Amino acid sequence: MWGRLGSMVRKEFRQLAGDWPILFILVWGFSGAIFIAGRAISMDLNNYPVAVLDYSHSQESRELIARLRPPNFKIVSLLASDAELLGTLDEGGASLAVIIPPTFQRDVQQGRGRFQVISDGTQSQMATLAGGYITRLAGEYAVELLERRIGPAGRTLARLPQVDARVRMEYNPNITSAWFSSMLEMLNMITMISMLLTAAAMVREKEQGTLEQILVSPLRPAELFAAKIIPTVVVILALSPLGLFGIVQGVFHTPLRGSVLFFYAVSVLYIASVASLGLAIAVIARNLAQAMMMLFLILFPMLFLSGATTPPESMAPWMRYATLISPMRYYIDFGYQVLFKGNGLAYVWHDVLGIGLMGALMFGFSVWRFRKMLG
Amino acid sequence: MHSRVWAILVKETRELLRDPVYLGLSFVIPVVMILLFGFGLSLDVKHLPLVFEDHDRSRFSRDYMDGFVHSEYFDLITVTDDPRRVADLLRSGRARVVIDIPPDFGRSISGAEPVRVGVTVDGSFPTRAGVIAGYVAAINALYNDKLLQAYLSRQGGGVRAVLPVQMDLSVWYNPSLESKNTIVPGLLVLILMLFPAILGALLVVREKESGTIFNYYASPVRRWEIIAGKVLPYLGVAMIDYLIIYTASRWIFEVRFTGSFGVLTLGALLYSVCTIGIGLLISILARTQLAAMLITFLATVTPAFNYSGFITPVASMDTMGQFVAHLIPATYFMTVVRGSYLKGLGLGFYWLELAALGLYTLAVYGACWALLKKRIG
Amino acid sequence: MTQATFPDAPAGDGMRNAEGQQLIIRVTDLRKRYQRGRVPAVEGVSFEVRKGRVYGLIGPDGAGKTSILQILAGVLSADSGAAHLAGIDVLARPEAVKPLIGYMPQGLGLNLYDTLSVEENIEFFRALRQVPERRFRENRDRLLAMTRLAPFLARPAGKLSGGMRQKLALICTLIHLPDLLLLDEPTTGVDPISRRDFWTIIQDLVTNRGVSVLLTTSYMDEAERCNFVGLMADGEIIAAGAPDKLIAEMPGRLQLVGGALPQSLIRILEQWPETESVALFGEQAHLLLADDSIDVAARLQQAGVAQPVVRDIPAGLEDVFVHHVMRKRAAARALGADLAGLVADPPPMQDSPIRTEGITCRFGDFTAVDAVSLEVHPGEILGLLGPNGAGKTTLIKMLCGLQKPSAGRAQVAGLDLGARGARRALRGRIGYMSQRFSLYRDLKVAANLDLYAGLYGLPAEMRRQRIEGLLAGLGLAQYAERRTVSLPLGLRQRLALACALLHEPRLLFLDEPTSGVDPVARRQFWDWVHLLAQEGGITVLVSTHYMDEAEHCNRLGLMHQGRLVALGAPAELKAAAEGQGGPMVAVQAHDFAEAYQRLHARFPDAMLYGRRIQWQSPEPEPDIEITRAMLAEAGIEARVSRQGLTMEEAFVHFVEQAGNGRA
Repeated sequence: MWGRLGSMVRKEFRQLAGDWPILFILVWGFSGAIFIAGRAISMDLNNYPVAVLDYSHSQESRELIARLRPPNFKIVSLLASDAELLGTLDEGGASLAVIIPPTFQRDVQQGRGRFQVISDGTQSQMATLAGGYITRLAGEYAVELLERRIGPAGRTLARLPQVDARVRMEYNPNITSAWFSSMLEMLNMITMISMLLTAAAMVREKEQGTLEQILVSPLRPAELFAAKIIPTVVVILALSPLGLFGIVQGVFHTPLRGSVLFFYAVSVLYIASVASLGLAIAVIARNLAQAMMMLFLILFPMLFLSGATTPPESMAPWMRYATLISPMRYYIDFGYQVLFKGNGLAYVWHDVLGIGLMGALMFGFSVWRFRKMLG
Repeated sequence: MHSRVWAILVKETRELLRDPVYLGLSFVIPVVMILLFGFGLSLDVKHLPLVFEDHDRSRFSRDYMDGFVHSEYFDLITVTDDPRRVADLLRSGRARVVIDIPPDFGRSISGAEPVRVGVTVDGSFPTRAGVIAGYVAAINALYNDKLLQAYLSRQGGGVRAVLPVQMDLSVWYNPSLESKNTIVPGLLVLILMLFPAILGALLVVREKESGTIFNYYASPVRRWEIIAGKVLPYLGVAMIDYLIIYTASRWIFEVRFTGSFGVLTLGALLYSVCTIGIGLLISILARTQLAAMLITFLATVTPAFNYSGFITPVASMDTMGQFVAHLIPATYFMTVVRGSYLKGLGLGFYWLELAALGLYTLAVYGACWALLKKRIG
Repeated sequence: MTQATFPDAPAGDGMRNAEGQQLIIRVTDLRKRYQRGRVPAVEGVSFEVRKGRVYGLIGPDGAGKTSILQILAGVLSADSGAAHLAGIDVLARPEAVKPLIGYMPQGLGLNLYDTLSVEENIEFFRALRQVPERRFRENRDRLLAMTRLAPFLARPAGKLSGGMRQKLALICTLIHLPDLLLLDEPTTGVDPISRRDFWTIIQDLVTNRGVSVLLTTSYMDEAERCNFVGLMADGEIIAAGAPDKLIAEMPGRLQLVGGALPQSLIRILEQWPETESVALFGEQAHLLLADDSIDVAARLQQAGVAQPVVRDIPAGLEDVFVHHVMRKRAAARALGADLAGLVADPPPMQDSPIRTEGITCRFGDFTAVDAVSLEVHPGEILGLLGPNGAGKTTLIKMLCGLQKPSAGRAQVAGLDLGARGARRALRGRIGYMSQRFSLYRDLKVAANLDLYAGLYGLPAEMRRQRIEGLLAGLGLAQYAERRTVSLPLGLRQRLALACALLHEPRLLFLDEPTSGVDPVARRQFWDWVHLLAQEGGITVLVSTHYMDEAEHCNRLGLMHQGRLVALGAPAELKAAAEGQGGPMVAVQAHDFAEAYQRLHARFPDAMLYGRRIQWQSPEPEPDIEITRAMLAEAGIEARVSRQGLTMEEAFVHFVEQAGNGRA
């Protein structure tokens, strides 16, 4: 059996070695693509566009406006009238409008200053974030004014009864989104390439008719499938360090706290699992177009529902359960826990179990389906 | 209608209706996607697992905790004073945020002294972590406000019992800030980008692979007739998809809709013509179906997702980002869609976007016409 | 010609040849290379086609035929030269010729849309060409009647048989009644009955409508149906002329030689300096000598052949082709280089390597193989002859264990296919070469062999020896490090044969091993098959759709629509068909068109073969009398003779007999 399998695996590598476009895509996937993802716009509040309508033109209003500065906010226009404000928000020129009334200075001095903020709620998450930030800014300004006023006579702010909630970000102190997004892209790449490479290798045998010649040889279906999976595993193991050490760690300085060896050990299992899914698709599909369509159908939900972009907590319960059949869900959890938090098997054993189970199921299904196809 | 265009149109329609792959790409996957993501996808960060490490166990610490427990954003997992247990919960991901209340919390508050609590947020998912920090700060500020007012009123005298600056925050267009109002219209833009483009990408390359392309090459049919005959059926498909998504958004997901259906439809029509054209252009240039599909996927979905304003407002992007945003049709249509659903604006507001889409379409089809050679080499 | 009476006939365009005859095509020094000039396709081709004639470009795959057709159809640019079509410069104004032409690309019905029905396909082409309603109806009904496709109007094109597809493709190409038909390999793999229908339509168009036809083919026998042929190899026309003239002008002498073991015969003949070509046909060899004064029998006796059999035989167009190619390429024959590497020691004779009883394969309600019973003897070459879709491939796949039979029993290489584990056990005992080239094109030749050596579990020490032996034995050694994709089809097929032989199987299945391969390479391939059978004692089951290849087999099974309609030695089959349906009556006349019109009215089966008219006649003597009288009365000078059946004619006879028997 090792002779047959070995010959088949050697053949797969020879084919891969001559396939420059695919090699290019592979290298790009583990370098350029991860770099771009790390640098891509994040979902932090960056330069959130603000329009200001200042009827007061006072010291106080200017002080308030001055607090709306990068990196969180960026004042994109200074307006003169309500009509302009309406237009700016409607057109989406600004996503937040600050309106300071003419009586602001007098009101503040009397201790009852009010100003208005209008937030464009069309992008709900950004609006939520922006609302939180500006509320905090306003609060800080108010306390500062208060302190300034009662300061000399009474106690300073530091002596007022206040709870100072110091937030410390565990694992990612400055919540650098590149740490997260570059790692996510690498895990996504491992997933997509495992599936696509294996499915394409199998469908190509079908389309070019080479499968037939293989089938009259003593090669067993399980050997054939193993011969498709092994090169995928090896190629990804060989190339992904480029992404992990070169880009994720090298360029973005993401700390790798856990055992990289452990990560790769489980990754072998994961790649084999997802490659089995690719094989299952290739066995069912009659041609490349069909295989691609099925890959679309499976990859989209897998990537969207991996728990990385949408928090599992906020998914509908049925969908949270549905993600249990996706090996990627386990892998994302596993990857971040091990690489980012430095957790060991005690914390991720259920992920490893999930990956292994789904992989065994897929491999079994592919072999069964293939045997059935042969009649 | 022009008979050669009609002939190609009828042929394309028949092939479409009889091929499961194209039927699937035309209708099944878009509908599955809108239902799946519409129901399942949510950007709301809610029900975050929270743990209190309470070393004080006083009336004051319980009062402080109440503010968090009663918010819909947090789900209280447990209250404990065992630091090792807390660390374990955070590590395993069973808790996303830990608030550490020091032993002297109650004493400080009652003594009108400032006190510090430690908030530890799991930073492995930065976006989520940022939102959590915001929630914590907001709830904490509410508590402080309460404390300050109580303190100041106790002090009495000349100091008024309110802060000198108050902010009135009003949210327009989506007052409840529900994420479905953001996601579902956004999906309309993405789906009408991806599937018409992919179908368009197969239009010519499929006939190249099968060899039937010679029927056009070797006959007197004109280039614009080929393009029109092939695009029109898929425009029909795109518009049916549009109506399905629109219907689902209004009556299944109950997304706010305040604008004009007519304007939205006009925008969808222009946008679909444009996205099919982009696919067609790729189809004319590519040699194999696989290449056409991969190029389409890379050239349409990623830019549309990142730069159309779906996630981040275009105005907040850097110069390069804004340049890319204005280069893709999805940005213009996103404005029309968001406006129609949530802002309730009429045609007058969108003539610029619609004109941009129109120009874009003209350019794309111009390129198709110029590059579609009735020759193989 | 009678074209003046047809309003749809092409208008005069002023293009004439030296003799003042009207031309439809004139091509001068046409050149085309692909991949920025690296891959030559057409290397300075010039020819003319007369209006209302059938011109055939004959040659193997890769000879440049398709490129010429595509350039003339205005769908491919040329690098240099000139091409005029009905007076229009195709290279300068490609769009201008498109209303005049009908172009049918290569491949069975490749211009059809599979999911569309027959009627919808025709309708699409009508609309694309904007054919006026009245002309469309008339033309459509006529074509449907001639092709007998009318009952299948509602069937999707994808579910038609190969022959029916190709006929539909022709209807679609003809629906606007073009002046010029450009047909690329229109009959490759098509069954003989459909081919006959096909040629009936072509002849009808040419004689009644003055349509001109330029077609390409790799069938030499088909070339004889053309008025004029150009033989192509490596991008050049190496010879051109009327088929009978080309044959008559061939120098040298073609002789059939026998009387010794074929392999020793072939080695002797190859060594003679005058030998232009030698090829094995069954037990005998065809020998072409440059010098026709040599006494072959005497020389053979000198070389130790006790009782040589030598007989002159008429040459065919294939011999002409081989003669010209050999002269051009001066190819050295690789045969006999190292036979030791090719075949192992003769094994003990097996009892019937293949025996089937009513083996059947059904896909849904379609019966691909219908109760076939046959027995193959050890060391024999059994050929399965039939068109695409006749069930040859499915039968071979069942015997290889690739397809499960729906009914019936089969014993292959001593294993009962129905038994548990038999299909696995079988794999080590048989060699299989599938219909399409099914090795890895992106791998080197040696890497392909290496893979299969591993798959068949050859021990490491044996592996190298066996691979080297096969590379040398099949003349592949110099290509070992070449990528398979860069090899011509003939060499690829040799590699496929090598892969099938690696594990020294006793039984070899070859599914259409020579499709599209040029005649020289084809003959060489068959030489190896003979050697394997005769020296290696290997039993060979081979399928083909080339009727002329039938002669290479010891016995032949004729297949049609899933059934085995006849089984026997080639000569027996021809004799049986002649005995049952009579011989051919052949008429050769100078004014063949006029003669054909008259004779066709009297003998509806009469067909035109270039300038010859012929039909099968159960009563040849009276028919010959009648024919002579008819032609004499019309004042047509003609030679009327009785001729034996070719394999194709015998095939048609058996198919029709089987059809009648069932109806």
